[in-house]
Amino acid sequence: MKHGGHRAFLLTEILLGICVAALLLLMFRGNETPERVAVIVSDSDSGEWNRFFAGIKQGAAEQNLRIVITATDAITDAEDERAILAQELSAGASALIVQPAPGQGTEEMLEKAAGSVPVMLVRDVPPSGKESDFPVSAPDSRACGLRLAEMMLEDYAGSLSGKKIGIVSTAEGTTLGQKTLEGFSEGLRKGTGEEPEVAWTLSVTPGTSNVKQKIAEESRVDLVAALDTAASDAAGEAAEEKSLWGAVVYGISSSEHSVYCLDHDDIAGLVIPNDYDCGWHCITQIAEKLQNSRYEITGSEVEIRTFRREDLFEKENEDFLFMD
Amino acid sequence: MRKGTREKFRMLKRAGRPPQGIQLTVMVTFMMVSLILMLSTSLVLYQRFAMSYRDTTLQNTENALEQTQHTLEDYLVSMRQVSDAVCYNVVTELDVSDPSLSQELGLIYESSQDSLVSIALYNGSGSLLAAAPVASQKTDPNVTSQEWFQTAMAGIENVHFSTPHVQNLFDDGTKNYYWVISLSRAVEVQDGDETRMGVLLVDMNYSGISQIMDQINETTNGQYYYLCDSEGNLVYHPRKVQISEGIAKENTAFAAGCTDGVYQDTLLGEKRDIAVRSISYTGWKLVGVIPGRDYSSRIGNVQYFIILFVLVAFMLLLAVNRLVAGRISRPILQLDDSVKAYEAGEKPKIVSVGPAEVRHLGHSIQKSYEQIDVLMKQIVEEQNERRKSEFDALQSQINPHFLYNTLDSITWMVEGGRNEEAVYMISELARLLRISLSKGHTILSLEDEIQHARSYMNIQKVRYRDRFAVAYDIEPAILSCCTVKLILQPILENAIYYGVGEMDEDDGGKITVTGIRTGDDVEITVEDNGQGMTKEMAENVLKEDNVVHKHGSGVGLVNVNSRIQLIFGKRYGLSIESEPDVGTKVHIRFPAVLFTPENQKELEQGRIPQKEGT
Repeated sequence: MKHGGHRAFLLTEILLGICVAALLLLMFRGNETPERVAVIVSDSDSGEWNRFFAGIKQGAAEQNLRIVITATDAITDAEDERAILAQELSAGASALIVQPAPGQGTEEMLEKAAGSVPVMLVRDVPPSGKESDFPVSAPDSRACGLRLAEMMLEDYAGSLSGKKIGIVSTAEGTTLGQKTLEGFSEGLRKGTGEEPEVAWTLSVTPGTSNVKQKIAEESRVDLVAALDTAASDAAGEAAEEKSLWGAVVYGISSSEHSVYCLDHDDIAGLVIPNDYDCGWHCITQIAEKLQNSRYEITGSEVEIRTFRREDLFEKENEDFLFMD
Repeated sequence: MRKGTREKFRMLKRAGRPPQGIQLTVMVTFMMVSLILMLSTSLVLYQRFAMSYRDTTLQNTENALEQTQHTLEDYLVSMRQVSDAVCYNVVTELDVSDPSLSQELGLIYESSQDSLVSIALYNGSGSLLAAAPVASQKTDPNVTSQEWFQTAMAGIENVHFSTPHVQNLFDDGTKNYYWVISLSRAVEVQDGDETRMGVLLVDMNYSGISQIMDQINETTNGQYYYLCDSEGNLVYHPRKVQISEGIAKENTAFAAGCTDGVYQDTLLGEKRDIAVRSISYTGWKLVGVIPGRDYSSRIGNVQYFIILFVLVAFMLLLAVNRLVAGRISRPILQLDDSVKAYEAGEKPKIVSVGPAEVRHLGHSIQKSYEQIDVLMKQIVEEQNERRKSEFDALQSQINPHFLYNTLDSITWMVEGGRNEEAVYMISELARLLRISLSKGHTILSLEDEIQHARSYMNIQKVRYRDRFAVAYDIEPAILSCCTVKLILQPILENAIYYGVGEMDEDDGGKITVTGIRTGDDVEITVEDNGQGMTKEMAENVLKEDNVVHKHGSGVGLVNVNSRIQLIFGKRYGLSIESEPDVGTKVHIRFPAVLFTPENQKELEQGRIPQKEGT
């Protein structure tokens, strides 16, 4: 009887001690330093990421995370990106938000370099020919191309027959570039009448300079389809400088510069993804994962909208288009 | 019926539950009381703290709102002053064609250019009349369809503040777009001799407002502040983009309708406290929001602390209570252990330690056990004595010497032809034997005992040839009392053998048996006028318990005395008075108990309490 009572007393004290320890852990858990999340995108200073970063920063403020936006030039291949990843991981990054580099080997490089750190891909999937193992938050590139073509067809009463089209892309070697082109081509085929002639396709790797000049060197066309932000900016500038033979430019873009071009009639129509939403989604998913290691990060398909000049200053579009 | 069933159930429940140890009872009681006290105190303190925290938070929010309200109002007033300066000092004073109008406009702009994006004057058709800074107007900005223009023209007497929007008027070549708040008013423009309506527009840099609001929204505790106009349109919100995207929601309609004060609202099922302040001149509402979860998260640590305190206190109390309960209960447990050891057959060595009450208990128990031992021994001794006495009495019933002599006398009588005397002897002997046996009973009626004595004496008289006389004087009332068997015969026997037996016929030897009731007792006296004995001899007669008298029945006076005392108690028995050459009196005293089969059984079983002899 005596031993039983002593045992019960010890057991109770031990249980209470465990509860006390657990409570202490809970109490001090909130005082930890915010986790560090590194954001690695190509050409981080270019205006195309402004809305994306705004969404990330807002989400980070809500989730009490520390964001580090790695200053980068154009990331041209997996090796470039690997070095930046290694640097951020050694600086103590707890998670990574990465725009995958163009070219082969990016998926494998990411798997190896990231290790057990949570990774979220943005804007594109690695060009590996198969579905990525990483969660991705990106617009449907194919749908972007398709909407661009549809916008063109709308402005020409559904038929582009007899028109010459030049296509500009600075996303060579990326899945985004490939899919956008496919979507655009598919969109063109939906027009009535004869399919328009694609006079040329200028496809360059990301970070290529003088795209504007390269466009101007191409043969004269009636319409220019710019399939990404850098292409849209370059085509818009060329149109502003009147070096585009009066061709009407349509583009897919995330930059405010393209919007300016649209505002000044240098671009006739833009397809713009909701980069703010993309950034916010990425950071909230990362935050969930960091709070609960068993959480599965989910990617998202980013919304895309089409804009013409008259849409720019609509109240419901201002927050989407312009950062304060 | 129900009450009885309930009572039965309670008793069964009590019976089924094993009894709790004293240490456990003390511990549990202390712990329950301590725990209840701690929990109720903690709860009360927590409630008070939570209320106090809420009040403090609300107060702090209201203070922040008040400060921000003044800052915003100062800022807006300064903007309004710019508009007033342009309106009253430039537009009203100068003709629209006067080049100094633009210069004045430029000067005023430069004095506040950190806060301004542009100042512009339009005519009623939306054509630009003057602007600062000088910049090319965008191609077809469609001024008349812009909200600031329409509001100004609709409310001529007032100055209008717009909600934030992107300026869509000028192209400054930087390819940048500016978020502005438009301060517009209808003005009278001098154009030569004519006065026309126009609109004066002062576009304030939105960053002026957003910086003020960003500052008070720097905290990360869930609280936030926002601005909305009187219709609930957002001017500033830390999650403005998300609200416009539809990702987040805000209850601006409710706040826009409130006057200054503190309110409670609900958003997406979460209760919040909101504090509202009105911004003068604009009709805007400055709203501070404290989500319910903010209180919870902020005082979450306090909750943890209180729970931690209760747990730690509980742990300490448990240990202390166990110690104290142990200290209190140890003497009782030791006492209990020693009692158990005694019950298991060990010697009664009862532990008496601890408080005075426990020591007293221990001593009392020790004494009780020792007394029990003594009493048990006494009982065993008395039982042995009784068995011995009864065995002796039994033996006397069929003493062969007396029987032999009597039968011999009878034979002699028959041979001598004295048949009548022989018959008389035989019948007396038979009566004596029958009463002696008494079916094995040890308790008789006094009548039977007297008859037994008579039969004995009748036989002895014949044997002693009437050398002595016997007289009986027994009160009839006492004949129906209980008595121990075979108490008179030994005394009569002694009276014969040591009293009158050796006297001659002429000496007049006499034995008298008297019996009276004195109070609750019966007293039988056997008196003889024989040779008597000394006082010392008389005193020793009842002490010589080892002496067996061979002459008579073999049962001595000691045996008679002890048998009476065994049945009736030490207060009763024999007492002897004797004087040499005078005679001897033997008194027999026992309580008057009516002879009934029940009383006979009770007495034989020793159930009537024995009274201690005096």
